[in-house]
Amino acid sequence: MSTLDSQSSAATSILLLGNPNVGKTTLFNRLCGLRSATANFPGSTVEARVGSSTRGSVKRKFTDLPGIYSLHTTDDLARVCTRALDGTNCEQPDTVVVVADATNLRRNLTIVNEVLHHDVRCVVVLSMADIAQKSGLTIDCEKLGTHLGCAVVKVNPRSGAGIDALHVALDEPRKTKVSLPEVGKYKEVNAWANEIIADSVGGKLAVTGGTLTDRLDKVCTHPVLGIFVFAAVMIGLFWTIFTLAAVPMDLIDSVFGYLSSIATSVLPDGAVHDFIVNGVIAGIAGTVVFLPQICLLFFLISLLEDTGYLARAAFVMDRVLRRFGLPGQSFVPFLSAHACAIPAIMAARIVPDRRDRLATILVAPFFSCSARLPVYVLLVGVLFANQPFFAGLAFFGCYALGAGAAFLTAFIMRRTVLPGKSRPMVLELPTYKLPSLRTAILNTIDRAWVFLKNAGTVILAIVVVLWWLSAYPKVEPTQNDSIQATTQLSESYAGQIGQFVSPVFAPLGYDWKLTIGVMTSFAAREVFVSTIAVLVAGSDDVEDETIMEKIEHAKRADGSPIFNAPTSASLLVFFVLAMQCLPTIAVTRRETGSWNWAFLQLGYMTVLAWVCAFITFQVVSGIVS
Amino acid sequence: MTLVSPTIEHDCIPLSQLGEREKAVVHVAELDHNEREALAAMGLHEEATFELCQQGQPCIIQVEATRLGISREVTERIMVRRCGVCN
Repeated sequence: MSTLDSQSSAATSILLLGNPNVGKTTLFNRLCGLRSATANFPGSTVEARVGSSTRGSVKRKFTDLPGIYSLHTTDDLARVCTRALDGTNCEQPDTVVVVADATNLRRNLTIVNEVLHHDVRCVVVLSMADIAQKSGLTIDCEKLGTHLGCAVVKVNPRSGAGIDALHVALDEPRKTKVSLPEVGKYKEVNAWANEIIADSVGGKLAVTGGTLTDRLDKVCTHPVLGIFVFAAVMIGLFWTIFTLAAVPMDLIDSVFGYLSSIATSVLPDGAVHDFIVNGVIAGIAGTVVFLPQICLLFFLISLLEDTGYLARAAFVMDRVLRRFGLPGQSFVPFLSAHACAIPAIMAARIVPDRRDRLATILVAPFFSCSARLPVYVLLVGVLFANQPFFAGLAFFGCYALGAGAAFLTAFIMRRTVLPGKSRPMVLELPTYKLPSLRTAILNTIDRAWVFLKNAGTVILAIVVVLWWLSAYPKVEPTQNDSIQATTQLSESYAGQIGQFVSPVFAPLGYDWKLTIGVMTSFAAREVFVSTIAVLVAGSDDVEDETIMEKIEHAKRADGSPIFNAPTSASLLVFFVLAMQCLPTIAVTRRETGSWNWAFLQLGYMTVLAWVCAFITFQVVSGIVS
Repeated sequence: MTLVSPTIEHDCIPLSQLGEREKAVVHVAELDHNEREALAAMGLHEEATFELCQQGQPCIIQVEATRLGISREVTERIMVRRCGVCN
């Protein structure tokens, strides 16, 4: 047995690797806390979290790789982990910490064996050792370490017990040459694992049927009961999001309103004032206002995932989604899409098969996001004023239409540009357990930061460009603010484009003002409401009831109402189905690695929205005439 | 590519036909290479012993401490021997 060179130096660049559901990310959070950030692994869309931890004079960089069962499967995750181990296109790690579930040592030794075949020092962390002990297993870390040729330490990532021992092991990681079975030969690997377990592990893990997990699974994955449980969980989730998020959303709105008023009082009228108040502040506010919903959504999803329920929900949804060529895992992105399509498209990374993932990304923006709500409120209010039952029905119809279009589109895509069936699901079902608040909070902060960075860069840039198009060239000032606002918008570059494009939207019943509203809402859908308020009512304050009445009674050049029933219904359908969100296109391009998919998504959704809005206009016109 | 074993024994049945709480051993998986590799990495390799917890969609099995949910489409292509038979 020989000891490799360079054994004495402390580990400073460390990869965390291991199977899913072994507590790897909880260990990362325990080690790094908030000193971490999520980044794409170079040359891929696979995410890795990078963080640091200082102990004495040694600063260690940890990279939390995605959970995998083997380095030798053909999926993207295994490829990325292998490249990370070998230092391909990234910093060469000096040590790998393999997190292994002590209650499931035989399976976890497979990936330990694979890592030990690489030329890198290794420390094995046994998580869930407390559960193993309670179940009757005694593990001798010294003996295990001798068999593996590296240090083995027991760590409880949730409580932090054993973290000091891990740091001590990382101060002097070792790797001694030991005899290892050939990777991929499962019989040999099993025989090797059995030999190690026989020598290092005492007792036998009691795995019995009829457990609480068994009983809960009977309900949660039942063909009928499972759907009721799923529906109850989803209703609870959305109720919590929409109820709790309202307060911080109002607060954010007020803060940006206050900032806007300060900027207005400090800055003299002119281009700089317009840019700061109407471009930067309004642009950031329009996106950041959705942050509470997004944070709550990710917090609750993280809690649900930690309980073990999400894996069961994926199977419940698989029965529905597979009919449309989508895998059960797609339901998590679709869930996120109800807050915002951007985190939804990013969440599609959990879908393992590339074609399944592309189909998920392409249809995610159909689900009604929060930004559509102000438009729904306006148009449903116009269509069904003082008819709350029908207004509620119309609201539900908007959500159902979006979901229906998503499933139909997936069905079409899987038979045309993305041919093939979705991959049948094989998922590990973790035992049910109480979720970790700490992990959920840290995950939420991480997700919120990614969203804010996006809002501060790509989204802000797009919003500012669209503001500029609608604010320039400047018109001569008039005495009447209302007339000036209308004139400004109609003669701006956006207004000119809107009037040029208006023949395209004329068959849908839109005049040039509505066309401008549709055009400007490509920045963000909710912009439509303020644009229409400015154009038809001469003010951007739509909370004032008289403004709503002005919008309802606004007239076209020929004296007929702008918001008649056919036009309002047509607009509603258009906004349910159209892409109308440039930042989403940018994110689709990033996640698919190609502009082709982004433009296909934009083109398909726009054409579908136009055709359906046209049909709606014709049908409703026929009914009311 | 689908690999079908030429030597599926007469006492083997598809996993989808196994009864709840029955123990069995994987004989062969009539799956493509990638699917077999993925299952093997999760602990369900040839000669692995497991217990069926729940039949249906998903089929839930327990391989040592690992609980796996498997779509019916996959369980129909995994041939197993009941432990009573193979032993």
